[in-house]
This record gives sequence, C-alpha cells and structure tokens, in this order.
Amino acid sequence: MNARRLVSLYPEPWRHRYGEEFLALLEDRPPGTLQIVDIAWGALDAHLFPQTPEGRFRMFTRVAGLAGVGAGVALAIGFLGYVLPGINAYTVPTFYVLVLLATIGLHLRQVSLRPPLAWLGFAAGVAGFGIGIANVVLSTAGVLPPSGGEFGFVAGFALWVGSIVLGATVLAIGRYPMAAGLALTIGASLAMIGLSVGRAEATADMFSIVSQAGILLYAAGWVGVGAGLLTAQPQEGVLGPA
Amino acid sequence: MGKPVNPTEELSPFAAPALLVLATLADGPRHGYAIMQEAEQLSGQSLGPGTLYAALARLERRGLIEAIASDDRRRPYRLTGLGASTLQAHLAQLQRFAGKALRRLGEGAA
Repeated sequence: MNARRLVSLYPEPWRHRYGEEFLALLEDRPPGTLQIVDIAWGALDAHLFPQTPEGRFRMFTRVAGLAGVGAGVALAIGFLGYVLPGINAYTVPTFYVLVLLATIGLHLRQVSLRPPLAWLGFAAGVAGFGIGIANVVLSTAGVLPPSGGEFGFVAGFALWVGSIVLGATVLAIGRYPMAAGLALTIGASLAMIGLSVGRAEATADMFSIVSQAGILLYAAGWVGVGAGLLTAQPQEGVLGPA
Repeated sequence: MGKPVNPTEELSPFAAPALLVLATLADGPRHGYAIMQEAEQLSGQSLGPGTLYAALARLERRGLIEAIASDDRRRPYRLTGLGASTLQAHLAQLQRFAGKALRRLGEGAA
C-alpha cells in the first residue's frame, strides 16, 4: 500500500506533528502486511486517544459538534413526533443528552474568551436542560403524569429560559455564525411565548404557530452551533495549546 | 494548558513498547528507523511503525523524551532527565522482580 495513503489514516493534528518523519520511516522500511495492520491499529489509537493538544481539542469539539447537530435533528424529529404520530418518542431524551454534551463543548470553547458570560450561559443551559431531564425521568418513572403535569410546564419554561440565556451568550461571545446564536435565542423566545400564550388561553396546546416555528428555529440553532464547533480552531478554546 | 501529566501514568497498551523505546534511547538520540533497528537488537522482537509512533507520542506528551530540531525529515529523539530517571526506576523494579522470581525458582528446584 502507498505510504502516503497509510499516513492519511492518521488524524490531521497527528500528521502535522509526526507525518513527515513517519513517511520517511515507511520509505526507509516499506511495510509488509503485518506492519500495515500495525499502522492501522496505531491510526485508530491516534484517533481515539490523541496525544497532542490540537488532537484532543479536535476530538472534543468534534464530539460536542456532532452532539449539537444531533440535538437539533433529534428535537426536530421529536417535534414532528407530536405532529405526525408514530415517530420515535425517544427523541426527546436523546435531545437532552446530546444538548448537554454540546453545551459542555460550547462552554469549554467559550470560557477562555469571555469567562463570566460563558459561565452564565453554561449555568442557565445546564439548569434548564437538567430540569427538562428531571421531567422526562420523573414522568417515565410514573412519579409525575405522562406530560409532567404542573412540573412539566415549569420544565418547559426552564428549558426555554435557559436556552435564551445560552443563545444570548453565544451571540455576545460571537465566535459562531451569528445565525446560530440568533436562531437559538429567537427560537427559544418564540417557543416560550407560545407556551405562555397557550397556558394563558388554557388550551394546553403549546404547539401554536408561534411555538412551532420557535421550536424548529431553535433546532436549527443547535445544528448551527454544532457546525460551529465542528469547524472550531484550537486557539479559540480552552483546550487549545497555551 | 492541559492538566499536568503523571510520567508514570499507565501507558497501556503501549507500556512495553514505550519501555523498549526508552531503553533504545538510553545511550543517545535516535530517529524512528534507528529506534526500530535498535529495539530488534535489544529485545529480539520487531516493533511495528504504528506501535512505535503510538509509544513515541505518549512518551513525548509525558515529557519522557523530546525531539531534537533537525533539517532532516528523520527527526531524532532523546531522553529527557525525567525520562532517564523513569527508565532507571522501571529497570531497577524489573531487576528486583527478576531477582526474586529467580530465587523462588531456585528454591523450588532445590
């Protein structure tokens, strides 16, 4: 197998650090079948356990970025589940788990840039999502009614308030496509207004036109934040090199 | 800006290759190919390129070895002070272990 192709199995930060000398080694001693297996194993190790700061940053932001994109998609599918019966109901818990991962990644990237704002967004996001998760767990366990009852309303409210603060910090710190921060903030605001209006009119139907648009916009916002994390550069985050 | 790394932290599954790499650098700097050759001479076992560089990356991150600036593509590595003391401690531990095991073997045979 071509030596350059073997080197290309390794992650980019690894290639940047060791690629040239590794290529020289493979040219000095062309690998046989067993060595090719050994190189593939080494490449897998370099992907899973990166040893350079850039590599660790890249892996971490990739996980957080994929979580952000996944959270947006899961929320959109979960939302469609209310509109179109039969769609998997597990998307809501999936959304919470993914969005928590993405929030941690978002925070770690932002905290070195604007610490107080980043902490504020992180605290608000985690509090909102935490209450949302508690609602899902307690409803599933039968402690609360299926929709969460009164607590479900509070949980929904907390989720949107937390998301608005989180979205505002994303906008203020400004290292993401502005559309992502705007979508998070406006989407969460619309969803909360829809929730409140629905409550005030005692309809119990939070999916008014306003909140429906808000939820989809909010989902798009997480996809945007995820994309921002996926394209993040090491020097822009706390995990980057000193 | 990462957390401090414990030099004796588990290097598994590359612990044995890492020790072998440290040993090959004990008498002076070597580049990757020379380390592979020396490792074969020293242990009788060949070190695959993937395993070698997985071990080099771990050792470098833990500050046990360092690369020497070179114009050549073949970048040489050398032991740091920490690397030398860590190697010495490991070898002394192995020596004590081997001594005890050999004594037990002798007692068992007697």
